[in-house]
Amino acid sequence: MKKRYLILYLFPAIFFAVVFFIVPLFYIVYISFFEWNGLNAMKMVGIQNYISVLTDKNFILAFKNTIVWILAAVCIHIPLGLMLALLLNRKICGWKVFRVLYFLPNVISITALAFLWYFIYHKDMGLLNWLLEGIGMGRFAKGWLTELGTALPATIVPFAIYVGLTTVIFMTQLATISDDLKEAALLDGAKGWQMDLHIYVPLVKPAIVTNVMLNVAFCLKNFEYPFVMTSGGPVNTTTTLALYIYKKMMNANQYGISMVGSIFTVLLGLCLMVLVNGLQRGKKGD
Amino acid sequence: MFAEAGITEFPDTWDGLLEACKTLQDAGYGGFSLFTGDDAWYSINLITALWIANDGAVTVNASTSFNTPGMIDALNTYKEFCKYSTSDVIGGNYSVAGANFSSKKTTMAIDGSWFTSYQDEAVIPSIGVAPMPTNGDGVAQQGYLVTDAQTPWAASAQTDPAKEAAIAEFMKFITTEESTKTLTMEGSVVLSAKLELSDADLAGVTEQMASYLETNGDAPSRTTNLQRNLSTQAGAELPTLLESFLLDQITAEQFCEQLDELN
Repeated sequence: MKKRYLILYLFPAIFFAVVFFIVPLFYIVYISFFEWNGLNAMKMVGIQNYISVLTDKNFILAFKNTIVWILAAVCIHIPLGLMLALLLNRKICGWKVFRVLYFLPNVISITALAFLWYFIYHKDMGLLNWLLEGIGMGRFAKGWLTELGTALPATIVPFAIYVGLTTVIFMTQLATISDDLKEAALLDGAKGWQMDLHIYVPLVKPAIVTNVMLNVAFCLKNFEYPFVMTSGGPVNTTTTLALYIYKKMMNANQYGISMVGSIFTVLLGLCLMVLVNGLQRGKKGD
Repeated sequence: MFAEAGITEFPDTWDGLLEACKTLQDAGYGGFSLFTGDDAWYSINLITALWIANDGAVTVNASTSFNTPGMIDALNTYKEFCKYSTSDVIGGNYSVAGANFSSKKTTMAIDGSWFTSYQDEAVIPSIGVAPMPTNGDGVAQQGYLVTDAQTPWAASAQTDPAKEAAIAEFMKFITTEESTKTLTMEGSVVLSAKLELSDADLAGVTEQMASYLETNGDAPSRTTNLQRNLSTQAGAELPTLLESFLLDQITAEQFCEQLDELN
């Protein structure tokens, strides 16, 4: 009887997962074996689309760029969010205002923010070059989005403004830490950074996992920043997997190849999630 | 802006225009509005025009390859023009390039005359329309047209001979001058075919359409922007190829070879 109810409760979740994820995923896999321009009859080409994608230097570049985004998220964005959370956790003057300010970019249109950054980086009228000129470092002014060496980092930097969500998740976890534990640590003589390093950081590990997953998902879906700021250029140096999929479908009308790009993106996402969960379980086992 | 820079007549040769761009730059103005993003429309218009000037419209229209000395030279000249454009040529798109013209950062936009109607009313009187320059060697005729307009007619393969014959008959009918005229005048379909039109005919269409028809009718030749002759895949890669070329990653020869290969 209980099991019957259990299935009943699970039914909506299973239904939506099947209709909106499993079925489309199978359809994507199906189309990936065809040459199709979206209009004409589909022509079965076997694994040719997979070979084309794996030998396409633009796909390899998009894959690498997405990995760079993920590394920036894990190695820079999350530690930054943790540091801010630990700082705000000390209830410094105006901490609630800062919390709101940090979170604000998360509720603003990504497209609008991408345009804003486009103009910050603009060679002639950009704020960044203007500031460099203003402080006597005009020799460093450049076309940040048009030069091969700076375009990718320049499109990644705006990611930092979303640190508010990461910070809030860490703060939520910090709020669950028992006062008894904090008092015990204080009685033992722990102060400042010692509390952070030995009490708070070990106890926010579940939040680290959550943040890694959310940030990896953001990077895998990341489309607007490279699309608005550089159209994926110059010479595809800022193209991400999401933009590669879009370009293959909308610009080149290569639906089959676009679907293969989607499948590899899903696989990358799954691998990363399994890895993160595995690491988390491993730590729990320790 | 041309007058301010001391240029009283629009140059009738590409070399002259390149010189004029240098003069304009010295006066603080950019030359052409150009961009490589999206479909790189202005850039491809310019490259097509330069190619026609080198090889002539008849040769370009009949060419099945982009890898010709005339096209290679056109690309190198285009690169020269980019030096006199704005800093956002690489990665810029139609809006950015259009805004550069509207805000007087650049002095020229290689676009349809309808583009003028998008401009601020106060600015419109200061905008002129100039015919395409040539190389002054008689290869291309003054006023040649690079157009976006083309209307391909196609039908799927038929197994029934009667249906096939009917379709062929319809194709013949729809492509007659009379049908083309009807489609243009009554349907406002922009076609690149040359039409014999009276003043009464032109009075029956919008000002923009009349302007287009007159320009189209007066042009000694019409060539479709080369991008419109590319396969979808080649067209999609064109911006990347252009950026590679402008950033000296590939030569003009390699650009043409790769474009042919993609196409």
